Amino acid sequence: MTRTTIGGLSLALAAAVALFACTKPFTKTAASADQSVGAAAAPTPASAPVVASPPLPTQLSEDFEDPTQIPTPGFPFARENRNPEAIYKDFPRDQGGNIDWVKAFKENLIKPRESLDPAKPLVPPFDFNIDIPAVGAMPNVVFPHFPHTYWLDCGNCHPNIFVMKKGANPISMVKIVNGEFCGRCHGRVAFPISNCARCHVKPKS
Amino acid sequence: MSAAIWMFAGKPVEGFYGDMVLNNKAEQRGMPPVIFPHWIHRTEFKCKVCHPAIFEMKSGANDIDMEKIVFKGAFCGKCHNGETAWRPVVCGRCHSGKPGMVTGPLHGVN
Repeated sequence: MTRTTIGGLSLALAAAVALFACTKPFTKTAASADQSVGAAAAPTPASAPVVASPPLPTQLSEDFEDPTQIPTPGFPFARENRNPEAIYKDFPRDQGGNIDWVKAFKENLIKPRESLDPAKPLVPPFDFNIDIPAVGAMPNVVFPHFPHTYWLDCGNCHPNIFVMKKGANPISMVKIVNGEFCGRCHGRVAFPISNCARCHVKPKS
Repeated sequence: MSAAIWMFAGKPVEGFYGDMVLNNKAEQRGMPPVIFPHWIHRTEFKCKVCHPAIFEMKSGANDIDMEKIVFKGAFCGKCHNGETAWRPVVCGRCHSGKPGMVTGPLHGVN
């Protein structure tokens, strides 16, 4: 009897801790964790008289997935846990606090697929750095093709965003902020331009 | 169960850097805007899988609607068809934005 109660209690505690760990931001303190465990565990008996509403038509569909539950793993593109905060938790961060996706794939934390067609052969990334002179005292930019060609095809950028000719692209930070050149992705989806030192890496001699 | 509902429904929507708001038509047609989580897709697929063949890389440039997704298998429906990824059955799973959100990146420069 006592063993089962203890077991049940510890299970409930574990579940509450797991739920809490999934939901809260990464900067939580032990004190707040304890508090929320108490809060989450305590109202469980009080929440019993909740009246179940009739299921929606979509919920009767055979492939309905309850959005309040974390989806189960399955073939081929589902992962065990789709909660973004749980996935991103261990990803490396850059100085700006944003996820460093290049480090993430170099450390094999992610293995993103190349194509929807599994038979399509892998295109190896293209390792070629380009020096882009910067204005004034800013260190020059070194553009690495490697991480870009890991994520993208040549056709994503050439020739619509960047002409394939050295010096033919009048890049400036103003244009980047306005969404041209690098700014087509950086500042919107790829890492933001607030972190100067990530691109301006080569000091002028 | 109540904890699970609190965890998803009661939480304020903040999103992540890289999330896109799709609101060209959603609100005109009486649905909340769509929040596209870019990064959860990025853990599984490289950019080149979707860009530019399925989605043009410009917010608002893709003429997406549910008919194309569900019946023609275009755009999101290329994967979200019940075979590769879950079928679009629960509206709120994508239509999760707040009213008045503008098409474009949720965080970052628009």
